[in-house]
Amino acid sequence: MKKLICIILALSIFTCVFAEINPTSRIFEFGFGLNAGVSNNYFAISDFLTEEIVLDFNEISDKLSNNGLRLNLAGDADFFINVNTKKLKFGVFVNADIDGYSSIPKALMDFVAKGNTLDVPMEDELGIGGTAYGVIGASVGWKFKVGFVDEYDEDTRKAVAIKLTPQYFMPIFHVPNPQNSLFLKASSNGAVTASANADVSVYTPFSLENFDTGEIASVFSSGGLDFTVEAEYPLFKFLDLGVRVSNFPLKPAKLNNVTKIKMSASASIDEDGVLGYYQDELKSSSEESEGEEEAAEESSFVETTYNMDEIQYLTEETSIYRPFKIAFLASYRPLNNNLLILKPMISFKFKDPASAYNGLFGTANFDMDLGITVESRPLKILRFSLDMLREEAVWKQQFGFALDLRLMELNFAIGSESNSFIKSFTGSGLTAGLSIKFGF
Amino acid sequence: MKNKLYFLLGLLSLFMIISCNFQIPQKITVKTSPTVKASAGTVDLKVEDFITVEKIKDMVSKTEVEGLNVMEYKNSNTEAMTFLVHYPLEKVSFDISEQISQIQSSLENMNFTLDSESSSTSFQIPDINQSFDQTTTVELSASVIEEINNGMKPISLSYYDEGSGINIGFIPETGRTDYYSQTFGGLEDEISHIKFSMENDEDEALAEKIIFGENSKIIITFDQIVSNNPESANPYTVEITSFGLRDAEGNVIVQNTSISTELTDENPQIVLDMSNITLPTVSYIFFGIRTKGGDPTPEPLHTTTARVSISETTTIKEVTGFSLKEEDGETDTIINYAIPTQTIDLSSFDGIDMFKEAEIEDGNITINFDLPDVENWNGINAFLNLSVEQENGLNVTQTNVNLITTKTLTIPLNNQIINTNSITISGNAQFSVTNPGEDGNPSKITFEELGKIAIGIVGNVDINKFSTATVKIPSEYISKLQQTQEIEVPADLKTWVKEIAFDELSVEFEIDTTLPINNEIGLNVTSTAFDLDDTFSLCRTDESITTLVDKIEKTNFTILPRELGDYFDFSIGITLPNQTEVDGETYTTISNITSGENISFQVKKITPVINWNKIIVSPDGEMGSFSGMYPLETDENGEAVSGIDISVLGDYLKNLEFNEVSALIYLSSPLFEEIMSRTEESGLSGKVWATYKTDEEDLEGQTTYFMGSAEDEALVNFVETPVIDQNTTIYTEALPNPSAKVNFASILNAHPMDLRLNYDFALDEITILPEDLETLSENAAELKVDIILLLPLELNIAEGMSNAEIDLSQFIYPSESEESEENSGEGTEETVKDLLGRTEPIEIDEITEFLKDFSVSLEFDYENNLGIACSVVMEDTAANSKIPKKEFSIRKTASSEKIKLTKEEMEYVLKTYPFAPDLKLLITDDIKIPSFDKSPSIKMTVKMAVYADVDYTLDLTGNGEE
Repeated sequence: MKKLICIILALSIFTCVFAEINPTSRIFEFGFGLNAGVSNNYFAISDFLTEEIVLDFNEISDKLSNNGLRLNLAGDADFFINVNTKKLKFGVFVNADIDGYSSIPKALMDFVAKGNTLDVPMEDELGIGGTAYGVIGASVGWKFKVGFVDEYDEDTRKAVAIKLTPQYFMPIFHVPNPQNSLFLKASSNGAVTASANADVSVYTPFSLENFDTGEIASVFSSGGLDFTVEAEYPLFKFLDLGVRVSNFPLKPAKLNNVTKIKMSASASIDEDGVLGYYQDELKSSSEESEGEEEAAEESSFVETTYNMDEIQYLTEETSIYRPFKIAFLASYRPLNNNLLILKPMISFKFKDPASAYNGLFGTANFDMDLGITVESRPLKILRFSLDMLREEAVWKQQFGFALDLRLMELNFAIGSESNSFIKSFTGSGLTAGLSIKFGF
Repeated sequence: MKNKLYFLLGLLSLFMIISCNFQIPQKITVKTSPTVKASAGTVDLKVEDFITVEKIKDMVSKTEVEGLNVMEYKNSNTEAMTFLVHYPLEKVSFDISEQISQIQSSLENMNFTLDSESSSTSFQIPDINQSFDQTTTVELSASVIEEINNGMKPISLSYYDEGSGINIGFIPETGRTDYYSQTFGGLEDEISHIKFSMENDEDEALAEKIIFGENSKIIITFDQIVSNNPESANPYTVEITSFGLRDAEGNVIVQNTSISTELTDENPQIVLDMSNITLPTVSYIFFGIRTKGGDPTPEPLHTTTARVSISETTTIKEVTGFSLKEEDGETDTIINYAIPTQTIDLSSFDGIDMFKEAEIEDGNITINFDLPDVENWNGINAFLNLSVEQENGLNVTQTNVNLITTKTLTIPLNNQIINTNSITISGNAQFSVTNPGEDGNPSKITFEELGKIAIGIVGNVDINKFSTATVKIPSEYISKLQQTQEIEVPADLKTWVKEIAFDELSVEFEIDTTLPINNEIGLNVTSTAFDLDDTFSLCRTDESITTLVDKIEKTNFTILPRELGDYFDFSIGITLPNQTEVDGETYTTISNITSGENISFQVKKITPVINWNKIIVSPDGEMGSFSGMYPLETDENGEAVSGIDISVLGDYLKNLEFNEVSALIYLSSPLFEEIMSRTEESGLSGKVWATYKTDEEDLEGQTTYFMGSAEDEALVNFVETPVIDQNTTIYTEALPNPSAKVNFASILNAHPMDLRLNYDFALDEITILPEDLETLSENAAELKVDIILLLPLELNIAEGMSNAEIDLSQFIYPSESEESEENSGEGTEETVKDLLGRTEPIEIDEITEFLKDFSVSLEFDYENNLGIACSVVMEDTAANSKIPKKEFSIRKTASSEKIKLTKEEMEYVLKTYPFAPDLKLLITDDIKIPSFDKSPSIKMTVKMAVYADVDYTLDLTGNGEE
């Protein structure tokens, strides 16, 4: 999933493929890039880089949104080779991508901080998930003019660029949204119910039971196929428009092995409560004193259960698609030069199960990415950028810097990120990226 | 321009770095202050869950006591919950009609029948009437053939030349050339006219005519025919080539032309098929011969005789003119044929299983004979000898029954003894033949079946009547004939009644029976209690009488109950006619009985009559007194029984006392009241008192008199006893005035142990007449002594005390016995659960380490409907206690109270084991628990809020924690 970040970064910041939105300066180039990000929606980095870390649950409870405390991790690495001619462009790349998230429910934080209220249940779900992919892809693009030359020989044609990128993606592991729940309720009548359940499934291309390194090769045979297609059109000299369809599915990846872990625990007191229990005991002991000398049964008013199934290693096929996106891009140069370039973007994402936890709308099937990049190229060899983006459910405020010496280009970016838009300005998370290209 | 831009960027970066001021974390502080709330639920304690009729009953009576009953007492006079304890001390009925009724009923219900489904018992006399038939086949023709074969003389094969008058050998020798040889020579010729007659050596005809049937043959056996010279070179042979018989007229009777029989020295035979041929006495043989060889000299020898016999397989249809004689020729030969034995099995006859034996008065065996075509016989004699036998029973023989002239034979069985064994009928038939017969005609016999005579015998055994019949009485019925009824003599009767006088005691029997006339039934009635032993008999004297009635009777006598055994007993024995016992089996011999008769016997009705005229009542105690106690000192097994122990009340009811517990003593007897008013006798007097101990050390015990005193008895008035239904749980009627009323509260307030109620009453001798009882209502002939306790749950604070305390600790801290590990198997030590139900302290240091502060708030919401206002006081008397005295009040209404425990208090409570503070119920007002219908209860809901303030710092440098 984070591959998309990489791609976007590559496309929008560092690896300007071609056209005006993401121009390139080399006919042939190769290089590699690294990106990593970690974020949460409450704590600032500075909260942990201080002499005394204070975990004030009362404050957390008061200030934390209803989404709970979230933590996102993402990272990717890629290697690429591109050939850029005037009309045709080719490229191949290899990419490794990993991301994960967890969500601590707000209700649990409230309980730790404030306790409970009689007859009001505390219930929520604990989210955790993640996926890792390896991706091999190739791209081909061409540029052609559309339009006409009018009767005055004025050439109104404009260069349209289209690029098609088929990708073979290979899941290494996949943890879909587990069913983890918490429940606690204390009733006025004396009943108390507390329960916790965890049901985690880890899908892999090979079995984790008696794992053998030789089985890693199975990663390559379990991959799926999708493609990305994008097009750019220079509407005006100062405005380029683009559309990108990412991860259009052709064939799902198949993971045949699953490792399942199930746990549950509960404790309850029935509606008679503790006093009801002792009342029954008092009555029964009173009746026994009448001569009914029955064997006293071992009993307790608290009924507890704890179950942890043995870890199961099963063969169970699951199909995995990468989230499908449709993005609309633009590159606006208000000064009609490269000193100031505004690049807005909006993307619609479908079929990402993590969206249920970290999406804008809380649904598993739909989420949005959006943002704007402010870029400046005061010199041909120098490029600065400021990004304010929401990508993969994380808000990022990022500064980028690129030094393009043609034979070698160095791109560097660093920023703050968070699940919370506000917190993304306060350093709740950190993101950094680095890539180097060589070519001519 | 570029330089300015670079400068600005660098300056911005510097500010950012300076402003960050990052440090490596050295401490982590966790802060939170949750308040966890929970409800302990609701406890709803109802009085009825703890104080019940059963519990009260268990408290006042450790053993099951008949009549003891405990119920709630509620009427308009009772405000507090009140229990009524009813103990019937004495209940004596002087109406002995109940016992007499039981005696009468038991006698009337005596059942002398074997089968409960049938009202009578019956004996089936077997109806022995059985027919039989058989056919005996007599092969008489074999005797005829044997007689003829044995008697028939040989045939002379000589030829008699009538012309020369010379007998010569009829067979020529080939070697001879003389006349004979030439005349008869020829090598082949027929020889005829040789006479063959069925005659004996005296030329007497053995049979005049025989008509043969199928498979009949005659065999001609030649005697030594030819004897050649051994040295002859041309031996002489003779061969028979045909053989036949002709009658006197020359007609061929039978012939065989295909014979090739050489006459040798070995008695050759020729067989003639005589099937369906009629052979007269005289016939003539003809036969063809063929000769060969022969020497002139010496002349070969040859014989001239042959013997004729009838083959054994021959069948004869008819034979005429023959006789069977012994060798002397004079004596008729008797031919015997055994008749197969006929068996009549009696085991399937109805009633035979009960039957033993009987003497036949009227019975016989009738036999019909059937010999075929006997009208055409002549000179034939046939006789039958017959025996009818039974092991140890029937034995009849009939001889020389002429089968020719007798068609039906009747053998009388009168005076014979018949038993259950099978009857066998056996015998033999004898035949003889005389020729000529008595009428001078030749004998003649024809055979329906070839050569055989079928003698048909059809018989019938028919027994109509027995002079006596002995039948077995089933062993299970023997016990029915001798029965005893016992009615327990009530202990009260012995205790209270001195004498009972009777006018009459009689038992009348009505018996239905179909026993024949003059068969006597014996009856015997005995009773030890009534000094009775009478025997009599009865029987039918006329056919029209089927019901026999008779009775035993005893008049004007008395019995002394105290000298009686345990029962009023009656034994009745019935003896059937001529009842005897042989080898462990019992039989009855019935006279004059018809075969097949079903004899029934039924004791239709027993009518006892017992009339008493006087009962003298006088208790068997000293001076006519009766006494008792509750509980008794020993139970029915003789085990010691302790008295009522309610000392436990002392543990709970300190400074609380019962105000009034009424003990009501009721003596009632309308009968005695009636008699005493009539006789002006002094009546009943006595005393009632309680004995108890105040504690274990009170060895002498206490005595409290409720009525009378140690020295004096109080005169008792008979009153009406309340009617208390044993099955009810609530008594709502007003109690009538008792004979005596005392306040039992002082004894209860003493919290007594080993409590017993004692009574002792004296009664003058009283005579009860039947008319005394007739005027009284049901149960009025009883004397009843009852004690009723009215126990209200109404307690007052003891005089001089401002309040009362109920120690709740013994409810809260139940002790459990656990086996000591050190003394496993040898003993136990008591483990006490403290207020929190623990048996060990709770280690909370690891928890409180994180807590800056915490407290527990308990909120008690209650609804009090017990009629008790009180305070619950918790006081920890431990020396190092950190818990101040805590108290909350429980009002008589619904309200709420709160108690808060601080951190210091909670730490003390949790760390201290056992935490067992004194828990007391402090009562300042009198207690009056309302009755059940107002549902006395206390309902309390306890809510708990635990506030915890966490402010914990973890020092990552390892320099300590806060």
